[in-house]
Amino acid sequence: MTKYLVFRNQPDSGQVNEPGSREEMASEIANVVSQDRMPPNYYISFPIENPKVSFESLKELAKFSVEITDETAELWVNEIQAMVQKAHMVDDAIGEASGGIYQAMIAYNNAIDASSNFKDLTSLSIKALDRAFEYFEVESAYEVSTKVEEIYSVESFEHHHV
Amino acid sequence: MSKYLVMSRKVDSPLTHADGSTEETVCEIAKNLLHYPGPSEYLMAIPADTKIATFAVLKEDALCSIEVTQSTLETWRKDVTNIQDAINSFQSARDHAENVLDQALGDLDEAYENSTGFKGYTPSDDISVYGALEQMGSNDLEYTFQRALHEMYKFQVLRRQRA
Repeated sequence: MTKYLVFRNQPDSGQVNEPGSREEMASEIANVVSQDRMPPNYYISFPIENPKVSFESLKELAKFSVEITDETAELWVNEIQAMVQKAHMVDDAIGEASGGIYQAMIAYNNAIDASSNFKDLTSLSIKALDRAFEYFEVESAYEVSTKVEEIYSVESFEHHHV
Repeated sequence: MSKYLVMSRKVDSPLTHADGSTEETVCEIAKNLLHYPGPSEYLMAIPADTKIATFAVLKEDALCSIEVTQSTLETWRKDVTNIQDAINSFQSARDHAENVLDQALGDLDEAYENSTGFKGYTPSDDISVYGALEQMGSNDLEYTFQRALHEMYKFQVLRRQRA
């Protein structure tokens, strides 16, 4: 088992995770757990065994730690990557669905408001729509991210700056 | 307030309603409220206080009766089409939403089902666009609007259409 520290990669750092490496995998795992869907190399990872890394000192700067074994690395490649992709597709579908319904709701509410005899018809609640779809997004991302967090023993570090 | 009876036009009848006439609008209203499958040109509106209307009732030719005023005719021409179009657009958006979500959730369900580490959870159990929209009352839009139209035009079905 190897433990990695995951850092926010500064845009001007010139560093990227080596494609196909465990470091890249650790960064992707952190991205899934954060649920923020950041672009590749938004995070950069280093194994703790790396002599450059002093766990206690760098923990202060790291955002996450991730543990990967050969077995869980295989699971990531064979199952979880595809599942994450599908969960993202659900998020995209939710965005597309809510956008279309949102526009149609506004058009309907406007048509009622502009009428002379149908103002009494109940207009559709945009807030209710927001609430419903927000819940969907949370639900679809939550399960995958929680399970990934558990399998890879992901620790999130909170930093408080004065 | 003017009351009209609406009946099917004989296939070979040369009589048509003038463009923009009250009778033409009444036929459009009747087509909508009866859910008449053909175009409104296949219908004919007759003022209810005429002998031909009485005869149509006796022969059970009249499909429905509708009452209009200048104001409700204006409402039909100006507002109803807009609202109906908005309802139709909303139904289309909802159908589309259900389709894209069903597809994406179906794929995710399958991925969970086939996995070794994630088995036992079915995402679509917790994510239902049907349920969410139902809670917002959007399923009743068409029905509520039709009820409002029935009241406004004092719509009465006189004879059921043949299936």
